[in-house]
Amino acid sequence: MKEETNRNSTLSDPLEWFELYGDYLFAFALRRVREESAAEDIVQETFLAAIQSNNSYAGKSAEKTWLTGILKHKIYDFFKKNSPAAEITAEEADLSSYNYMFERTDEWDGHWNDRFAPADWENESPLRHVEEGEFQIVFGSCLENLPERIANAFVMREVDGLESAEICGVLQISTNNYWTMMHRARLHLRRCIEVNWFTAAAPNRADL
Amino acid sequence: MADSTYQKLKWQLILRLARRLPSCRALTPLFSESLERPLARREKILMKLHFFTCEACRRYTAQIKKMGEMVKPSGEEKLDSESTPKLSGNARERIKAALESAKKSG
Repeated sequence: MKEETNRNSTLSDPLEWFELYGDYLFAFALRRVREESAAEDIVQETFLAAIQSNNSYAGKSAEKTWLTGILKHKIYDFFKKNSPAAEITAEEADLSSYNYMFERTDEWDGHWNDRFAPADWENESPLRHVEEGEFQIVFGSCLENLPERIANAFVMREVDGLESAEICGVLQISTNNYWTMMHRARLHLRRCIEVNWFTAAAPNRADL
Repeated sequence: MADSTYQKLKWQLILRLARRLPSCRALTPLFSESLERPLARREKILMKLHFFTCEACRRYTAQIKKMGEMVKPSGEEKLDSESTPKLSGNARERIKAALESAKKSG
């Protein structure tokens, strides 16, 4: 396609857009796939797709929004490629490493152990000035300790707000398996965020 | 005092109820599912009764919900602070080269 045919709406120079939005799209992808080389590939694929579908950009949405839309599809494609067309594995469904939170020596075994029961987050709110970027670092490293597919499910559900049917489609799992994954993610992440964000960021608190 | 008798009775009721209900560990999957689908009547009652006996699970459920709000970007994501990761020089060159050649062939 010639550049002058479609002046306002044509991606006149993909390199220019790359200079403008490359870093943004990279950070956006990295937050979700948590792996640099994968995020780089996804950014490249996004711009290549943008060049090809040049004329689908009608100039209605901002360039950045349009590119972000393509990027999201590429991210979910990546999740799909990395999810074996199989139901949840025994390892993924294994919750035994979280049993410690519910172990008690009295008659109430199976109920919260006082040491690990949810703390009052209201009293442990991090300082206001703590940067949102710092929470992202804690959240990112907490995700790292989950099996990959489960972390991906949580990202799609809670970060991007996808419907459960879409997530099941991407990961090729049943709804029941999806619920199991979300339960594990929440059990793990709630505790991890509590320990590393709320208690660690609270003022005047010794390292635990 | 009448007040303390009332408290005692309430506490006894809570303990009796708690013994008959499933444990916190057994119910946590249901708390997560309450954020995923409408619960059946039976499940709702079970959850309410357990919450009546257990502050920790009330808190747990409120926090897993709050966690979703904490990780959800509000509006356009702020990805331009100093600490935001950037493309490395190598990756930048590689992607540029790929785009150049795609532009030529396209």
